[in-house]
Amino acid sequence: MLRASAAAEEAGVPSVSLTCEGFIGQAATTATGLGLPSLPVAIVPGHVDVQTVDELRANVFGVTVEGVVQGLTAAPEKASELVEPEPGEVVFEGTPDEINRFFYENGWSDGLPIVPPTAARVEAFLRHTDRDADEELGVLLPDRRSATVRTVAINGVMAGCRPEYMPVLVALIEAMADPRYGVEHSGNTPGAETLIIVNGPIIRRLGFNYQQGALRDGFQANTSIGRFWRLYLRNVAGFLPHKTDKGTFGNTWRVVLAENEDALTRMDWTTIAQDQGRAPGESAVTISRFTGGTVLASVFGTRPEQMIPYLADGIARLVAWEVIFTVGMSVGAQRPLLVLSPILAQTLARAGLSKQDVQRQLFEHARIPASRFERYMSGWTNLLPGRPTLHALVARGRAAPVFAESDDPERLVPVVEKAEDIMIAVSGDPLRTNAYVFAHNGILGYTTTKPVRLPAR
Amino acid sequence: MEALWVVLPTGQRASGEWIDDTLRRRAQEAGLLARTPLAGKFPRHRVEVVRAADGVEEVNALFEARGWTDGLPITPPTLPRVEAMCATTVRAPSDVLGEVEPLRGEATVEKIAANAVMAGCRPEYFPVVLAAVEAVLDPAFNMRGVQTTDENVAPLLIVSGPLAARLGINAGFGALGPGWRANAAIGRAVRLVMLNLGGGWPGAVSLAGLGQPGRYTLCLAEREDGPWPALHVELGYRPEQSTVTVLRAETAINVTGGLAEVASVMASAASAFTMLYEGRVAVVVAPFVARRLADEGWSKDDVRRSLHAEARVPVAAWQSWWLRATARQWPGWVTEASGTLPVLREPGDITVVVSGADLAIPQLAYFPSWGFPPCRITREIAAPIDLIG
Amino acid sequence: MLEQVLWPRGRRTVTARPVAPRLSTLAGKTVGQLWDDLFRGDEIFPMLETALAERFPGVKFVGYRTFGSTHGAEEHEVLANLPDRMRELGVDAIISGMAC
Repeated sequence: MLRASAAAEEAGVPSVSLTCEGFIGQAATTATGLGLPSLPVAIVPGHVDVQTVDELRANVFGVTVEGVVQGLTAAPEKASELVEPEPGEVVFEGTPDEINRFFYENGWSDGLPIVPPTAARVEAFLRHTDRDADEELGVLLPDRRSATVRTVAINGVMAGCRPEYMPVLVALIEAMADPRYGVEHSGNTPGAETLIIVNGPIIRRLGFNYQQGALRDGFQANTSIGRFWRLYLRNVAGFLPHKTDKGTFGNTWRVVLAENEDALTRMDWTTIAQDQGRAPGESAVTISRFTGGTVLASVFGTRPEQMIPYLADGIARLVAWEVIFTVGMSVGAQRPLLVLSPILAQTLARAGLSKQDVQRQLFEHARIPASRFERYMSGWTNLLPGRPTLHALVARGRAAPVFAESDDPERLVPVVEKAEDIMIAVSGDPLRTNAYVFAHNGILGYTTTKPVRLPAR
Repeated sequence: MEALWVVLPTGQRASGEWIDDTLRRRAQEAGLLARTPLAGKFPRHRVEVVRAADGVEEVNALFEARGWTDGLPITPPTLPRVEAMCATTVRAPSDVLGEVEPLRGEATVEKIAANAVMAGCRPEYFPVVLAAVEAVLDPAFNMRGVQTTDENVAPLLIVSGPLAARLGINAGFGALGPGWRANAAIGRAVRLVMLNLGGGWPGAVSLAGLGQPGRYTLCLAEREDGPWPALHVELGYRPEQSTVTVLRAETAINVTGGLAEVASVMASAASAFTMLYEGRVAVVVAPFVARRLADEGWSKDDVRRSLHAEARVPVAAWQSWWLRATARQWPGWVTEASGTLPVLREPGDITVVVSGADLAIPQLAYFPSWGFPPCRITREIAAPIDLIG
Repeated sequence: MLEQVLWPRGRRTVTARPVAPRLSTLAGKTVGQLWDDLFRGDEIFPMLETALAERFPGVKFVGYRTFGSTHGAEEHEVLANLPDRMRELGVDAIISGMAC
C-alpha cells in the first residue's frame, strides 16, 4: 500500500510498491497526492485474483522481481512541479450551453447540466457563512487538494443548491476531511456510496423532505446536496472514473436522508446525531458509506416479537462480506443502518421499547452460523487471507469474544460487535410498514458527524 | 467569429505534470524559445475553446507557437474529429498505451487520436497509428535513445497485409512519398506523438544535428502482388492479417542497379551505426527487380544471404572511420579482425519488402539503422470498426 | 448571454519531495515487508524472497507480520511506529504490497 511506502521513504528507507497492472495510473496519482510522485512501483502483470498459482509464479518471477530490484536500486527521476489554474480563477467565458459543455469535457461535471459558477452566484453562497472564503476545511486525498470554503460554494452552485444550504455544505466537507471518515477509500473496488443523514432544526428551515419518498429525488435540498457531495469528491478529492475511481460498478449520489424528528420526539427516541454524541436540538450531518441497501416490505405485526426477526434478518443478510469490518480487517467498525418508517418505530415504542432496546433485540436476532460468517470473510472471498477461523481471530485480538463462545461451527454469531453498532433512523412515509437496510463499508467510509453552524445573525 | 473546441494534444504524466513545463525550460536553456514563444502557455485542461474569425488559422498559430507542430500546418483536433477517430477502435479513449520517453507523457488513446487528427489522418487510419505507437513504445525501440540522440534517426513504418490496400496506404508510385494521404498522415501521426507526448522538441530535447526528411513522416506499404511471401507472413502472421513493422532507420539511400550495388552501398560508412550496434536494416525492392530475381530462383532468404555475404567492409576502411575511432571495439559478431568485416551479424537482420512502381527500372532503397538494441517490432493492426462487416 | 465561470477544483497542496536514496545492491541488506492483508501478498512475498535470495547473497528479510497490517483499523498505528521499528530491526529497504 502506497501510504506505507510513503512512510518508509519519509523515514529515509527506500521502498518499492507491488502494484497490479491495472492499478498503475491510480498508483501514480495517489503517489503524487502523497507528495512523492517518483514513488517506485514493481508491476504484477494482470490481476492476482484471477491467476492460478502457476500463472502468478510466472508473473512474479518473470516481471515483478526485476521491478523490485530496480525500484530499490535505481534512482528515480526528480519530480517537477504541477502547473494548474488558481482556485477560483475565471477559467472560461461563454453561454450557459458552452459552459456546460466545457465543464463536462474537462471532467468537472457529472454529466447533468450544472449551474454555471459565476462569481456573483458564489458570493451569494458565501454570504451564508461566517467563515472566510479561503479558510481551509481540510486537505483531501487522493489529490491532496485544499478544500476551502470557496470551493464548497463553487461546487454547491454547480450542484443546484440554494445559497442558504451553505452551512450544511461546509459541515459536510468538514466531515469528508475528517481522517476518521477515510475519504481516501472512496474510489475503492466495491464502489460504495455515502449516505448523508441530516438532523436538527435545519431540516425544517431548509425544507428537507423526511416523509414519503425520503430517499427519492424531488426535493431541492435533499437532491442537490446529495449531488454536491459527489461533485466535490470529483473536483476536490480527485475521484475520476477510469483513473482514481476504481469502483467496479459504483453507485451514484444518494439524496440526503432527513429524519422525522417530530415522530422521534413523540416516541422519546434519540436521533442519529444524538446517538453520535451531538446535543438535542443541534443541527448536524452524519456521513457513512454504504455499498447498497434494500427494502424490507410489509413488516407485519403488532408486537416487537413479530417484527424484530424480519428486521434482524434483513440486517444479517445484507452485512454479508462486510463482516470483515466487524472482525479481522478492523474490530467493531461495522455500522449497518436500519431505517424505520415512523409507524414501525411507533409500534415498537408503544410496546415500551427505547431505540436502544430495539438495538439490543436486533443484536440478539441478527445472527448467522459461524460457518457462514467464515465463508463470507475468507471462504467465498479472499478478504482475510489465510482463512482464519473466528476462534483464531479472537485469539489474535482481531474479533470480540462473542464470536468464539463455543466450537460448534453452526453456533449463531452476531454480524456486528455490539448492539449500539446497529444504527436506527426514522424517516419515510409515516403510515407505510416498510423498512430499509443499508450495508456498511466499515472503516472505508466510517460514520462521522459534524455540527452545522449557521452564520451569526 | 467561430469557436473551435480542441482537445489539447500535449503530454501529461500520470502524476498530472505537463511536459511543456520541462520543455519550456529546456528550450530557454537552448536559446530556442523564439521558435516556441508560447511554450507552456495554454489552459491546463483537456479541452480548450479557441475563438477567432478564422479558427483554423488561430489554432495553427497557437499550436505552432506552443511547440506542438512539426512546422507544417495541422488540422485542429476538434472534439468531433477526435471522437470520430476514437470511434474506430474498441479501446477506450482513456486507455493508456504507455509513457513516451523521455518526458513520459501518457500515450492515451485520446491524445494519440488528437495527434492523428493534427497529422491529417482519416479516422480509418487510426488503428494503424495505434499499432505503430504500440510498436514504438516497445522497449526494444529505445524511444529515449531515438528522441535524444544527436543522430538523425526516424521510425520507418512498413505496413503489410490486406488492410494496406483497403486504407489506401500506397505501395506503388512514390511509395516513399509524396502523394498518398495515408502514408503521409500515418507516419506523421507517430512523429507528432513522439513530439507532443514524449517531448522530442528539436534542439531542446532532440539533439539530432541535421535531422532528415523521414523525421516528418516515413511510412509505406508492401505490395501484395510480389513474387515472395509478404513481410507479415514471413513473420508468422496469417495472410489475412495486417501488421505494421517498425525499424529505426537512417535516411533511405536510393540505389539503381541490383543486389551488388546495394551491397556496395551497405558496405560503406553509411552502415557505421548498423555495425556499431548490431542493427537491423531494411531493403526495399521494386517489383521489377523482385520479379527478375524470383524468375532466377531467388527467394527473400537468398537475397538476404547474398547481401549479408557481399556487404563486407575492409578492416582498414573500418579502422579509418570516425566511428571506429570513438568506439573501442570491433562489432560484436567479429571474432577475427582480418580481411573484410560483414556489416551485419546475420542475414535475418535484413528486412526485405517489395514496394514501389512497376517500372522497368532496377530500383531499390537501403535504410541503414541506428541504435540499440536490435529492433524490428511488429504489431497487428485491428480493422477499423466501421470497416468490419 | 456570456458568463464568466470559476475553476471548481482545489489547489494541490503537495510540494513534491524526493524519495529516500536507493541502495547500490541488495546483497547483505535487510529487506522489510509491509502488507495490507489483501491480494495474495502471502503468496507473492515468499516468491520474492526466493528470487532475491538467489540473486543477492546475504539478503535478509523481515516478514510482514512483524510490522502489522498496513490496511485496516491499525493502519495509522502501524505507520506511526514504522520508523522506529525499521530502525530497531536494521531495515535497509521496504517492499510494500498490494496496490491492486
